[in-house]
Amino acid sequence: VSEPVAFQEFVLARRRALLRTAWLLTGDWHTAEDLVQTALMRCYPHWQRIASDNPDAYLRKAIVNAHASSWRRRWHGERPTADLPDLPGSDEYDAADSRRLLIAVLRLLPARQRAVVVLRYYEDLTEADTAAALGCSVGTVKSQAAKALATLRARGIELTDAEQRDHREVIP
Amino acid sequence: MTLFDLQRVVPEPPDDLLDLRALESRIRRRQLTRRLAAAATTVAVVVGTVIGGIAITGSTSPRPLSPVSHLDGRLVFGQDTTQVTKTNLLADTSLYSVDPTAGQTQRLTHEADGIDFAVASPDGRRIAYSQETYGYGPAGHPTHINGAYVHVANADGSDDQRIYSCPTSSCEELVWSPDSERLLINGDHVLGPDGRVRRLCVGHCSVRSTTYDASWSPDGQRLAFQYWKDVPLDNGRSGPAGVSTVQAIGVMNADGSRPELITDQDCTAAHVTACSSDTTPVWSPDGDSIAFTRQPLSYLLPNNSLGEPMVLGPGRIDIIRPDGSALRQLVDCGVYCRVWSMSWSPTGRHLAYLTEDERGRYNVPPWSLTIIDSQTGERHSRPLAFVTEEMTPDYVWAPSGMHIAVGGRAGNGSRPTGIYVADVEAGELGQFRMLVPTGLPPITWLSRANH
Repeated sequence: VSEPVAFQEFVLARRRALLRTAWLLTGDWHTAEDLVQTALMRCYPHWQRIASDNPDAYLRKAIVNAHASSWRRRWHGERPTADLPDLPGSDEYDAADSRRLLIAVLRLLPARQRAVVVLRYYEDLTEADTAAALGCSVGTVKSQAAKALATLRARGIELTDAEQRDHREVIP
Repeated sequence: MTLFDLQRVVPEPPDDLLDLRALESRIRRRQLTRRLAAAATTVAVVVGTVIGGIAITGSTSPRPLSPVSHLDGRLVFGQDTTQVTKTNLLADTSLYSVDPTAGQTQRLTHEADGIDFAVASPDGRRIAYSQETYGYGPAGHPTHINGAYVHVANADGSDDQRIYSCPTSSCEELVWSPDSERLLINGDHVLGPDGRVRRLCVGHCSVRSTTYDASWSPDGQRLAFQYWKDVPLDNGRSGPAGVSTVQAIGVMNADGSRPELITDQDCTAAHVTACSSDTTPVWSPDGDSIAFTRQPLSYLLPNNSLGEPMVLGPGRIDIIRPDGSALRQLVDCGVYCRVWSMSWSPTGRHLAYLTEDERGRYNVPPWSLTIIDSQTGERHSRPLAFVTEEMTPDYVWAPSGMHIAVGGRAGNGSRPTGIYVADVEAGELGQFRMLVPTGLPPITWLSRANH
């Protein structure tokens, strides 16, 4: 490994964030770990260039691309289900139930829509940055986000965006 | 309505994930594999030049095909009727056919919803296709899948009938029997000549024993199928702790009776290196062989002897006789390579398959189409330069075996690749030429006999 310091420093500093993003895409920690490992492995040969630019953006894109490759493999693929866990009754939901519901609902979305949701509503990327990460147009991000949100709303779920989050934190 | 803040809901990852030493080991192995692959490519080109052995052909520069001669029958393909590929959902994809020689295109289906799989009957008279219907949001965009159905229509699109409602969200596997009288649906239902669809049962029809990727014997009397079974190994990926699901190849009568596994293995921790997951059987046209993809189970284990946590696979193609004898390995394209969509040439001498190879992702197209001689193992590969990483290619043999058509299912927000055609001569794949710029999978080929 020829650039151990910079690469290792990045992995140590960002591993939790990368794993959390991958968890949202995959729904379990083992697959998330595989995804992040694959993304890091692919970025490593180009690390000098990546490190001098925006490594977070490169890694996000690599994770999304690795996920796009993995869901095509039918025998490791997910099988959508119509049976969702019960919705929690109030805003004071139990964390474990919420995670279970969240993953079940995200699995309803096609992989691309799921990626848009994760980048826009977890990573708080702008539409332009999301488009750059996914290699598509801003219009596609908008339409994909709209479809994903419509699917979630049909299941009684609304996502908080960055603006709402900031607003909520200002008001006690 | 429940309000979710993703940033608050996502849990913290366990501390033991993403071990740096494991990552470094994986990076070193990848570097070594890439160096070995580069060296092997150099050797193969030199050997191929000197003694006419394995030939690895270069990337192509497609040129328009208008018109061409010697192409047989009509090619059926998908096309977005709005001319814009919009979503992962296949809304507005309809089937068209084109006479490759005259270039005349004809629309075959007229409903608005999406078509994701189509296959022509061997006699060229009918087309079976699967269709998804969608629910639409207030903005008029499709938001979710309402149902999935199988249709059968005449080759010109007339007499289109919905014959089956799929219990899952898609009907991916449609296979005509050799006599064009029966249609296998999702590997476990059969449409008979009487127009009724019946369930095939293997074992006791339990969830685990459903079949997928089944293949007719050329006499139409038997089926090769993929059987899912639980084995007492924990690969950390599926099923309850301590149990993994693997696949084995079986054969049975076409009515579902007398199922028998022909690649069943003793999958225990003591025999893990001899255990494999066997998938996608395809019966040879002469009836003597069944080719299938094989992934050694040790590849799937998180802590195998190589310390490799995950591979792309299955990277092997093996061939076995229908009675379970004469098993032999035909191809091993490597740990980082995966075999897709294997099929026999109509003559039965060659097999075609797609490979997705992780090694070359940053240098060459990730997808290649290979034709291999099933007897000598001589193979010819051609990178699919027009199919990007985010697309999924599909291909089909012409009924004569003299051509192959390829297209890429467009990734979200990207344009269709178009449909390309290449000649096949003596097992060698020629240059790809563009046939339909706006075409996309599904693609299938109607024989000329009935047109």
